[in-house]
Amino acid sequence: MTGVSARDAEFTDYVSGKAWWLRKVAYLLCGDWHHADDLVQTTITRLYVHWPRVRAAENMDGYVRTVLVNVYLAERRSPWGRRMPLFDGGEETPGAEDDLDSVLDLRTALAALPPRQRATLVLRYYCDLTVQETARTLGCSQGNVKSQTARGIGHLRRLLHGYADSFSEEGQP
Amino acid sequence: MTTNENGLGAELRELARSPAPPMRVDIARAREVGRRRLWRRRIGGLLSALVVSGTLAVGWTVVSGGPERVTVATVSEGTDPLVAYASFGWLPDTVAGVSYVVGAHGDQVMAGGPGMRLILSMYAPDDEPPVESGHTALSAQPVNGRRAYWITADPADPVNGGDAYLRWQVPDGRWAELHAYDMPEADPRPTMLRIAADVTVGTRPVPLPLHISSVPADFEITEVHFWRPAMQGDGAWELMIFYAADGGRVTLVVSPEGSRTVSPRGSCMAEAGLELCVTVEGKMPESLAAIGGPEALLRRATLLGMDEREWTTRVIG
Repeated sequence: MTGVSARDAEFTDYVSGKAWWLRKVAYLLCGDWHHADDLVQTTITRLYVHWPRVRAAENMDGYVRTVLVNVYLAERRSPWGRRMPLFDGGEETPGAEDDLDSVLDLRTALAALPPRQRATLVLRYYCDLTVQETARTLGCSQGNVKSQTARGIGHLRRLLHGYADSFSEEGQP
Repeated sequence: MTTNENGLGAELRELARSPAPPMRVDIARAREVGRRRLWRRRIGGLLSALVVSGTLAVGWTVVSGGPERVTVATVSEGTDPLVAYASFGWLPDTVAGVSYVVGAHGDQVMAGGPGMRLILSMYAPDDEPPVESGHTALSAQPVNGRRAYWITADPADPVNGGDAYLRWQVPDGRWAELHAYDMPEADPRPTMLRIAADVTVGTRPVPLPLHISSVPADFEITEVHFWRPAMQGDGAWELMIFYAADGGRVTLVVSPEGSRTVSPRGSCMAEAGLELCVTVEGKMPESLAAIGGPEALLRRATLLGMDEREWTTRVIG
């Protein structure tokens, strides 16, 4: 296969296999499935435009993950993005109630983190990247990743304990 | 909830497994849009090269430098913190409202409906229309008798693949721009021309739904966001006024009462069907603490209700 058709076929194969993974990472970044789909759509469109560079990358998945994170961070920097709601608590999410509260707590707490802190935690703890890999993905120093991680974890703890406290208070007679 | 470093990974994986709606990602559309972008780049580069070499001249094509934008709306230290220099007039019924975002992160006047956006901008006075490198100005029907152009990366497509730009000269020699995308019409040009014809260019304080007798003297206004409809919740609008003072940030948020889906933060009051919340981020400014904190600002505020005819351009003072 050559030319445009080869590009299309390779692109389609790769993206078809990775779309669900990208969607989950995007969801953890933005906190909303519909918005996550938009982020993935923008990401894969950029991948298509730069496909020769993508397929030449030593670590294709890493390259693609970097594009997704950049799309997310760029959007959060834009005037529209800064005002675009992340999780606003209004989305209906069906599921088992036992697990749902803790999942929703974490989603709400993540939404309160600054975008780079949130991206750092998702890359370190969901994508299992090392500090060095995270720094490369975010285009920052390893020291910056370490400090963002520490702050992010601290921030999450405070937020989640806050929710726990407020739930306890609501439960008082 | 653990939030220890080992537990967080497991919790994130659990969150990523939470129930999700069907995926809307469209690989075919990504290919199509990507192909169009590649094609435009190639054509743009080719046209630039031809114009530079003198082989081709299509309308007004600029190959270097960028058009000079001028402010379309701004924050003001006067009695009205939001001043527009150009305003929409007639808009299609599908538009839910006109939003202003002004201040430190750029100035925008936007109108929007389901998916669609209309963005109004202004450019410095010039004899010729502002045109970016690699783009072409195609003659459009005059707007109020003045020259108008469709700015496009594709000389064969005036509406630029649905990401359409109309620029027209206004009486003082400046150029106004209407940028429209995701319009419902297959050909948005007639609607865009009608909108452009009713745009008013001139300084206009934007009426706002509150009055505050005074704010501390060191309060420096940094941004105003007036979203219609509200970006969060189901309200018809949401107004945010951002001040910086003494190393802290003070934000005033006004919205129809009960319209916000996120619990309001800070100190709040409700009046005339509206809600005002004042939040302080970072250091509490000494000048604010001296007058009694955020609650003192609330006591100085009057909310003017949902009837926009009652809103005021004398917001502060």
